[in-house]
Amino acid sequence: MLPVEFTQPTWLTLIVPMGVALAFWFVRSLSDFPRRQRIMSLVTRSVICLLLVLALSGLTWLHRTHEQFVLFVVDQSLSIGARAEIRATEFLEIAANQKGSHRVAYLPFAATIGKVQEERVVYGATPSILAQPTYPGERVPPSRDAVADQHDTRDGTNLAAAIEAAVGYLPPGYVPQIVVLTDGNQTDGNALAAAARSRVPVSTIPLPARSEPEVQVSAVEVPIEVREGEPFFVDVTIHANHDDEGLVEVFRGDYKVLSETRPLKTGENKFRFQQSIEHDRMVAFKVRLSGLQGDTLLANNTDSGLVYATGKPRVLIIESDPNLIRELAFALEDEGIQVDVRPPQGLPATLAGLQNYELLMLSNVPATALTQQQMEITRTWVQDFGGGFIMLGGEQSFGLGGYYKSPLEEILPVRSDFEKEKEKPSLGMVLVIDRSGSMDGDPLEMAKTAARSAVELLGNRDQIAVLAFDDQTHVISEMQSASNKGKISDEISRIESGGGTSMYPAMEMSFEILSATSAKLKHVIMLTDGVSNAGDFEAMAQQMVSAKITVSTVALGGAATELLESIARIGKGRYYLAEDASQVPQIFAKETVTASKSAIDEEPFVPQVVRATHALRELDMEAAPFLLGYVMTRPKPTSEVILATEKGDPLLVWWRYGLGMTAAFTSDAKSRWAAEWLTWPGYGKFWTQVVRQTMRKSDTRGIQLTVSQKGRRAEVTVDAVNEIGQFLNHSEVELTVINPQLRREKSRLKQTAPGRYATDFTTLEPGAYHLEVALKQGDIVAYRQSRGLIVGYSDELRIQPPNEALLKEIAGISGGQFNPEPARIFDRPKAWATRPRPLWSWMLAVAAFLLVLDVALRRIEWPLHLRGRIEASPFN
Amino acid sequence: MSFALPIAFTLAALAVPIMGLYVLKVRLRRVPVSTNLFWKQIYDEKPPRSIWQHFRHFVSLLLQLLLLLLIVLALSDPYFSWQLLESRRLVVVFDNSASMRATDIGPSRLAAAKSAALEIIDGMRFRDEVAIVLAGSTPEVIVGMSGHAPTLRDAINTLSFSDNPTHLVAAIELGHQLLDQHPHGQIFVMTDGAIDSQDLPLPSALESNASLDPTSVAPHKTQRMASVVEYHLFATAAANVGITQLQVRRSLIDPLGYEILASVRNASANQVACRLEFLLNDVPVDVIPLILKPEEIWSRAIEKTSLEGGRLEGVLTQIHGIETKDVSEKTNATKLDTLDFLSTDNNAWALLPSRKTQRVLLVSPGNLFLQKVFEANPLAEVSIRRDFPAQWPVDSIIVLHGNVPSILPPGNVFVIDPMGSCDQWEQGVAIETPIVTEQNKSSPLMNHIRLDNVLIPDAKQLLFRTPPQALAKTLSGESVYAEVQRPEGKCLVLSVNLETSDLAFRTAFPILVANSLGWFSGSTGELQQSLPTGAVTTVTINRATRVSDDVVLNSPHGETTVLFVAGPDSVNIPLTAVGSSQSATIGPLHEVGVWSVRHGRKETTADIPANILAEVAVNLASNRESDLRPAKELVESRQTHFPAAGWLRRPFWYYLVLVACSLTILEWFLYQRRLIS
Repeated sequence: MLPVEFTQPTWLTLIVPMGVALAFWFVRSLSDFPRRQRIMSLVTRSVICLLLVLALSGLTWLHRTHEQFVLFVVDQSLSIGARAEIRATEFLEIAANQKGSHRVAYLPFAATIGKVQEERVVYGATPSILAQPTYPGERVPPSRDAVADQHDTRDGTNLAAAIEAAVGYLPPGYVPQIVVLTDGNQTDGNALAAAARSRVPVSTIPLPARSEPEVQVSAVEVPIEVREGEPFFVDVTIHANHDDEGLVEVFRGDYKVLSETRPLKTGENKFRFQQSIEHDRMVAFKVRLSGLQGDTLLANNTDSGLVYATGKPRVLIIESDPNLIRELAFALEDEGIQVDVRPPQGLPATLAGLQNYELLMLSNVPATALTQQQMEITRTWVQDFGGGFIMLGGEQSFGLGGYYKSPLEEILPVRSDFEKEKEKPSLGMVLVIDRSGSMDGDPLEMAKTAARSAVELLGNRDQIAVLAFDDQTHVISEMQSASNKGKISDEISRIESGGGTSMYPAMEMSFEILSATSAKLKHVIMLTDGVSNAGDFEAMAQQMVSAKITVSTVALGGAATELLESIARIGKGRYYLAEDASQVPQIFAKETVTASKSAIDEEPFVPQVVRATHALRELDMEAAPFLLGYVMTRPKPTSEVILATEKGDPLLVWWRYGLGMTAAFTSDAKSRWAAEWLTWPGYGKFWTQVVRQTMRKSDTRGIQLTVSQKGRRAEVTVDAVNEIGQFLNHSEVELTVINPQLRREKSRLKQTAPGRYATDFTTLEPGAYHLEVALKQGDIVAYRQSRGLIVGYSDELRIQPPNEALLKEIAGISGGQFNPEPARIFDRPKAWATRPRPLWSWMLAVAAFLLVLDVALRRIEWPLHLRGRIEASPFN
Repeated sequence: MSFALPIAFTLAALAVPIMGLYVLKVRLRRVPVSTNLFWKQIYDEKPPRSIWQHFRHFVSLLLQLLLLLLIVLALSDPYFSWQLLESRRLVVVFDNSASMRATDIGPSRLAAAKSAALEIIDGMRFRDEVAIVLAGSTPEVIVGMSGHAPTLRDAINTLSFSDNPTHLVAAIELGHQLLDQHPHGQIFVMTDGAIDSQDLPLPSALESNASLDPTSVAPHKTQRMASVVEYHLFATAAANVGITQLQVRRSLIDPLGYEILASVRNASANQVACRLEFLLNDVPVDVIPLILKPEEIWSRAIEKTSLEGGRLEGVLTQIHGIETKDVSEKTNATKLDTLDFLSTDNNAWALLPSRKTQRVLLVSPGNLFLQKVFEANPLAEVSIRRDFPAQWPVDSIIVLHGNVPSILPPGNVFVIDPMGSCDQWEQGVAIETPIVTEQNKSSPLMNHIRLDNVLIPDAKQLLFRTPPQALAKTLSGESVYAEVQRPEGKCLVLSVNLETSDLAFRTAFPILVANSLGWFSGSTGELQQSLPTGAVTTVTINRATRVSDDVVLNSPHGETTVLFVAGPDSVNIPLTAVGSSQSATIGPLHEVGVWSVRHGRKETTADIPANILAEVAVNLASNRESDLRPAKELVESRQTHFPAAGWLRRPFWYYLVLVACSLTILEWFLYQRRLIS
C-alpha cells in the first residue's frame, strides 16, 4: 500500500463532475485539430484537473523519519541538592550538544508542573519556573511572598503528573522520548502507572541524594492506644548523612522529658525510652534536634507521635477558689472518678488539653475570667467531641457571671435572661462609654454590643440612659424605661468615634441623670480605654455613693487603671480590666445582672423532682436536705428539667448539645448554699450519677478506628459491631476533624462493607489533627471514639537515597533506558516515526508546467508542423 | 497579505512560453478546395497577419494566464496576519466513564460523543491545533496538540469504553495546561453529565467573580478554566436500576457465617420491579424480589453460611417499570417496558474468603462432652489421644484436659482443668466459692458467654508466674478462665472441673470453645473488599512457585498483562511493588468483574484454580454513575453547537485552487465550443 493519505478525501469526488465536463465538451468539440492531438490535449487537461483535485483533497505522503523529539522532565523539588543540580546541568548540557538535528525541550516539575520551554532548565533561576501561569491584569495577592510560593511548589515530587503532562506536549511526527531527571522519591501520584500508560519510552536519570550535611528525625513511633499506667516505648529514629552530634530533646506535651547530647552516626540512629500515662487521655511526644554541626534543612528536625490512654473517667473542675470545692472532688474520687481542680486560669486553651477529660465543671467562675477562645474551644469540645459540661450556681455563675450571649450560654440548657419578678427593686442604670478616636473599630463595636446586651438584660421596670464622651459628653439615649429596647438599641448603634477623652463631665452628667430618677437601685458603668483629662473623679464617686449610686468601671487595654480602680472602690462597684475588647460584652452583662440584684434567690428550699430519671436512681430526693439559695434562670425549650426549686425555677437541667451533654445546677455544691447537702449521705452518689450522666461516654468497645496517612490524605476506617459481635450496618457514622488551625470539618463516613465505614480527609498542614468518630443509631450516639493524628513535615524533606528501583521499573515498563549516557539518549537508529508531508504544493507546481504543454497542444497543430518539417527536409 | 512560499512566484515565468505560443506564427494547413468561391471565406478566416495581430485570441490567452496566475498564487501560500492571530488551540476532553455506555442515545452515548467530536475535527481551521484527552481515573493525553486531521480522527475512532466512574476535573485541568494560555484556547468536554458537578469549572464560577476572596489563588484557576470550557452533553434523562454496592465479609461470631451487604438504586422517576439474585461459585444462594420506589436506594445486609468461600455474584434481572395509581397498592400494577439503559451495574462481584479448618489434638483421659463439643465445630479436625505424644504437632491446636506436661508445648494451647503445675503456673488449693462474679467483657473470647450462673463446685487456684489476662474471676478474685501471656504461643487455661460442673451442659460451653478456636486462628471478620472501578490496589501474592515464572494480570474479559518478570536483570521488571516483597501494585482496574493475578506459564491454563495467586473483585459501585441523568448545572450550561470556524477556515490557496478548477473547466468549454475565437 502506498504510504499516502488524503486529509480531505471528500474533495476527490470532484474528479467525477470535472471528468464528465471535460469528456462532454471533448465530444462536442468544434476544434479542427487532429484527433490524436485532441486526445493528448484532453489527457493533459485531465491531468491538470486531477492534480488540482488531489491538492484540494490534501494528498499527503507519510514518510518515515528518525528525527526525535526528546522532552527532558527535570525535577526541581526540595530534595534536589547541589550535587544533583550539577549532575542534571552537566547531563542536559552534554545532551543538548549531542542533539544534532533532533529537537529537545524541557519541562521543570516538583509538586506542580512547570511550563515546557525550549531553553535549558537552570537551577536556582527565577521563581517563575514553577509558578502557576498568571494572566495579564490578574491580581497577584500581595500577601503571598514569591519566595515562599516557590518553596510551596517545590515541596513535593509529583512525577506521575509530570509524565502525564509531558506526554501531552510531545508533537506528532517525531520519534518521541521522555527523559526524566529525578531522585525518584515521589510524594504524590503513581509514576509507574503513568509511565505504563504513556506509550512513550521514558528514560530515567537518577539524580544523587542531597550531599549537603543533613540530619532528620525520621520517625517517632508510639503505640496508638495504651492502658492507663501501662509502660510503653517511644521509639525515635534519626537519620544522618554524616557523623554528627546534637542535642536530642523529647517533649511530652509541654514538658521536656529528655534532653541529652548524643553522637549521631551516618545512617540510621535509633533509641527508645519508656513512658507510661497516668492521668492524661492523650499525650503527644515531640522529638526535637538542635545544636547540630552540619544541617541544611531545619524543617525536618522535629517530629511527633500521639498516644491515647484508656482508664478511669476524668473530670476537670474549675473553681475560683479551689479549696471550696474539695468535698465534691473527694466525693467523686470515692466513686472512681479522677478529679482535677483548677482555678479559672487553668482551663485548657486547646482542644488537646480538654480532650484529657470526660467532663468540665465550672463552679462559680465568671465569664470575665475566661477568654473568648477558651469558651469557644469548650463549645467545640462539647458539640463535636462529645465532652460533658456542667455549670454550678453561685454569685458569679449564669447571668451573674456575665454569660449572657456567650458561647457557653449557647451550650447550656438554661438562659441567663429571665423574667424579672415584680417585687424585685427597679434599677436605674447609666452606661458611660468612651467614644474617643482610640476606640475606633473593634473596641467601639464591642462596647456597643455590650451596651445592647445590657439593655436586653434589664426588666421592664428598669430604666437606662446611655452617654458617650470624647472631648464633650453626648447623650446617646435619654433616661427611659428599658422596655423601649428597640429604640435604645438603635440609638446605641449610632455612636461614632470622635476626638479626645474627657470623662469627668460625663460622670457628672450620669450623676445628674440618676439623681433625677426614682429607681430603687442606681448604677453607673463607665468604660474607657485612655487617660482622661483631669477631673475630681474621686469626689464625684463619693458624692454618688452618698446618693446611693454605685459605680463600676471597665478599663479597656490597661490605661488609667489606677484611677478607674479607685473610682470603683469608692463608688462601691466593681472594677474590670479588659485586655481584649471581646471581653467587654461579658463584663457589661455581668454588671447589669449583678447590679439589678435580681438573679439570686437565697431562701432555703427543698429540691423538687420534676422528671424521674435513671440518673437519680436509688436516691431519695424527698429526703434530701434543703439548699440555701440558687441563681435564677430559664430553661431552654428542648431541655429536660430534672429538679426544680419550690418556686418552680430550674435547679438541675440538662440537654444534649451536638455530640455532648451539658447540665446546669443552679445551686452550688459547696458550703455556701449546699452546706446541708455536704453531710447528706446521698451527696456523693447524687453528684457521681449526675457526672456520669453528663460526661462523655467512652464506650469504644464496639468500634475500632484506624487512621492511616498517605501523602496528603488520611484515611479513616471504622469497624463497628454491637455488644454481641454482629456488624452494625446502615448506621450513621460521623467524623469530626479539627485541623491544626482549629478549623472544623465534618463528614459522614460511607459504609464500604458489612460493619465497615470509611472516609478520608486532606492533611495539607503539618500539626495535630483531632478526630472524633460518633456512631449513631437513630438519634442516639451509640459509640464514639477519639483519635489524634500528627502530620509531620512533608515527605519531600525526608533524606532518602534515590529510588533507583522505581526509576528502573519506569524505564523498563515504558521501554526507555535506565541511566543512559547523555550521548546515548539520541542513539535510537531503529526507532522511526511517520511524518505526514502534504504534497499539494508539488501538485500545483506540476500543474503549472503542464499548463504550458496544454497551451502548446491547443496552439500548434503538431502533426502539420512535424509533417511540414519532414516535407522540407533536403532528403525528400 | 504575506506569502509562505514566495519562491513560487518564479513559476510566473511560465507566462512567457504561454504568451509565446500565442504569438507564434503557425503554419496553416493546406486545404484543397474545389472552387475559389470558398477562397474568400478561407481568407477571411485565416488572413495573413502581422505578429501582433496574433493576439486576436486575446480572451483565450487571458484565461490561460489567469489560470497560471491562480496556480502560482496558490503555490505561494498567501495568508493574512489575522489568520495567524485567529488560529485556535482546542482540547477535546472525552468522558468514557461507565455511564457513557448507556444506550438511551443510540448506539451509545460515547458513540454520539465521538461523532460530534469528528465534527469538530472537520471544522478545524487550517492553523488550528487539537488535542484529545481521555478522562479516565487519571487523565490520559491520547493525542497531543496536532493539526493533522487524520491522526485526530483515528484517535477519536479508537476511543473505547471503560467502566470507570467519571473524573472530569483532572482531565479539564490537564487540558487547560495544554492550552498554555492560548488566546483562542477552548476545551470541549464531551460528557453525559452523570457527575456531581460541584467541583467542575462551570460558567457560574465566572458570575461569582466579585464575591471571591482576592487573596486566594485557587478560584482564579477555576475561573480561568471555566472561561474556556464548553460542555456538550450526550444524554437524556434515562432511567436505570443498578447494584451500587456488593460486599461480603466473614462473620465475627459464626465460624461459617458471612454477611452480604448489597445496595440497589432505582435512578428513575418510576416505580420499578426487579429481582436480585446471589450466586456463590455459580450456585444460587438467595433471590430477592424487589419493588423499588422512584429514587429509592435499597440496602440490606444478608447473613449466610459457607465454609469454602469463593466468588459471590449479584445479578439484577427482570427490571420493569410498574405503573400504579397508588404506590402502596401493588395489585393494580401494570408493567411498563424495561427501565434499564445501562447493563454494567446489573452485575456485581465480591470475594468471600474461605474458612480454613484447624487441626485440634485433644489429649484427655476421656470426656465425651468435651470431645463432642470440639467434633461438632465445623472448623475443627479433631484427633484424640489419652497420653502425650512423643512430639507435639506444630500445626494443631493442642487441648490438654487434666494432665499437663511440665513444660507446655509451643504454639496454641488450651488447657482445661489442669491437674498439676507447669512452667506457666503453680497449682494451688481448691478455690473456696468458685462463683464467677467478674467477666472480661472486652475480650472476644467472652462474647455471648455468661458464666455467673454456671454451677462450679470444683475449681483450682492457679498461681501464675506472669500475670495473666483474666477472662473470668471468682468472688475471691481468682481467675478460673485466663489468657496466659507467653512468647511461645497463645495459651488459655480454664481451671474448672468439667466432671463436677454443669458447664459442659450449658450452651455457653460450645460458644466458649468456638470463641477460643476463632481466637487461636486469629480470624476476625475477614474481608476482601470489592473495589470500585478505576482503583489501583496492592495485592499480596501467595507465591508458592518458582521465581522465574511470569505473573500476569487477567482482566475480567480475558486481557492479559504481564505483571512482572522476575528475571536476573532487574531492569526488566515491568510492574511490581518497589523492593523484593511479594506484593504487586495493579491497576487502574477499569473493568467490572473479577481480576485475577495468575502464573503466566504456558503449560498451565487459566481454568485451573490453583493457578490463581490473587483475585480482586471490581464493581461500578457508584450511586452517581448508575444515575444516568445529567447534572442540572451541566444541563443549564450545556452547549448544543460547536463554535463556527468561519467561512475562511481553509488556507487561502485552497480557494485559489477551487477557482482554478472552475476556470479550467470553463476555459475548456469556451475553447472546445470556439467561443473565444
